[in-house]
Amino acid sequence: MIDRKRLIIAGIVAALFIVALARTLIGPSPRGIQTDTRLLMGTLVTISVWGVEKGRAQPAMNAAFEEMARIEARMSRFVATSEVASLNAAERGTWQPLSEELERVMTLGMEIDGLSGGAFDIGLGPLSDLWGFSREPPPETPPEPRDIRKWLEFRSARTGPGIEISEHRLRLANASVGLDLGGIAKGYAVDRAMEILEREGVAHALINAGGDMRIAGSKGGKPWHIGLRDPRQADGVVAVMDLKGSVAISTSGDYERFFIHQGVRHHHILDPATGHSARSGLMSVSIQAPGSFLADALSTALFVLGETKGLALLEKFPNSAALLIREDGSRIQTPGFIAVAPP
Amino acid sequence: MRPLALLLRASTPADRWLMGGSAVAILTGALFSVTTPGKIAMVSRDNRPILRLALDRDSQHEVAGRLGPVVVQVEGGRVRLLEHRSPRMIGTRVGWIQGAGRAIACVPCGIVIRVEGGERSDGDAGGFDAVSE
Repeated sequence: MIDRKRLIIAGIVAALFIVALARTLIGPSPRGIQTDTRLLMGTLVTISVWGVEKGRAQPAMNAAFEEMARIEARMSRFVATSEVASLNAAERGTWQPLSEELERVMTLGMEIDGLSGGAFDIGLGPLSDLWGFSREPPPETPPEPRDIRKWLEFRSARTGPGIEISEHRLRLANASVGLDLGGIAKGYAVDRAMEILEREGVAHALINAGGDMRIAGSKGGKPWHIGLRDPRQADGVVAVMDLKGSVAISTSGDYERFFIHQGVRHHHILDPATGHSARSGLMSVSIQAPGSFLADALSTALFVLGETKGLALLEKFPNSAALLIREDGSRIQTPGFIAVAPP
Repeated sequence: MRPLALLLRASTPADRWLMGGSAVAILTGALFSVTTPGKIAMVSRDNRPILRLALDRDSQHEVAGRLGPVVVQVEGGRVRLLEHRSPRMIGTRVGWIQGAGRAIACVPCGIVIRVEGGERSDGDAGGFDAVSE
């Protein structure tokens, strides 16, 4: 009898020992959030995963970061060896080979360009260079008016579309056009990174690429708790979004990259129609959409278009919703946009 | 009480020590998985780790960023970034951080400080999991 009891005790001791050893080797409990960060695409990218053992979480996050780095290496116009930089360097009016991936991304971007009546334009590279919001140190004065006039003249001199895509080739019309995928590449990269996480078995995650973000699942049934920045107070939030499931969020505002010159705020969201910062009566536009690519593009397009035309564009995307903050601080929240005022 | 008495009678002192030790290890692990303070500040430049700082020891370090030197300061279990020449000083404006998973970045300098040492507790980024901006 005592031998049988001793056998049971030995079993209990062994089980406890194995559990303790496994905890030590595998690491923290899979219940909590694990986070990692990288500098990518000119911003701080943070990936948080929930409910994954440490041994699986880090490789999954690494794979997602690698995918974003790969996309940056292909689509950033600031990376000299990228496909986009190579296309921008090509002689205007000549057909250039286009990778399948870039063709897919650009085709989607051009669709939104068409639907927005040109307010969302992925060919604004030369105008962006004139303003120099991506330069370090950042600009403190606007470009010379004659330079903007010249750009507008070049643009209006185009007889056809600025960007043409045909049979896996691309042609840029003239010197007014150069690829700048800043309005979509980050969103596309976030979508791809989330696909990688899902492929690696991560069901609950948040990817935040400098404010362009996408969530999946929840935190053990609790929603992801997201703040929406106050356009005029860097430390404040104007809305709280508690979100579960698959949602992308993107915000475009006149406060991200800007300078004030002679009392006028000049910011990085440029209006192709004027060559200047968009003045649509809005301070910020936030979009909730099924994917980051779409949310990224729509937030820029709605900001440029303004309230009336922007909301008309949004109606073409039934699964997307917006929160617009006007220059006077008042808001428009479309049905379906999940947010409440902060406590 | 009977199972406990049975357990004590049928086990040797060595069994009891092993059981007790394992139980303590499991309970400690469970406690730390609920909320774990950060213990290490990992400083990286261009996504490569360059400095590993214990947060339980006050210290100050000058690190070469892309735009020139920046200072990483550890004090009272917290860490902050002091930029000298960053155009927007965004990393400096973040101030002190201490929770595991929190990070400060100076993008033009290529410098990121990240607090590591365990799991992040819910809503650590100023009460939010993230802020859309």
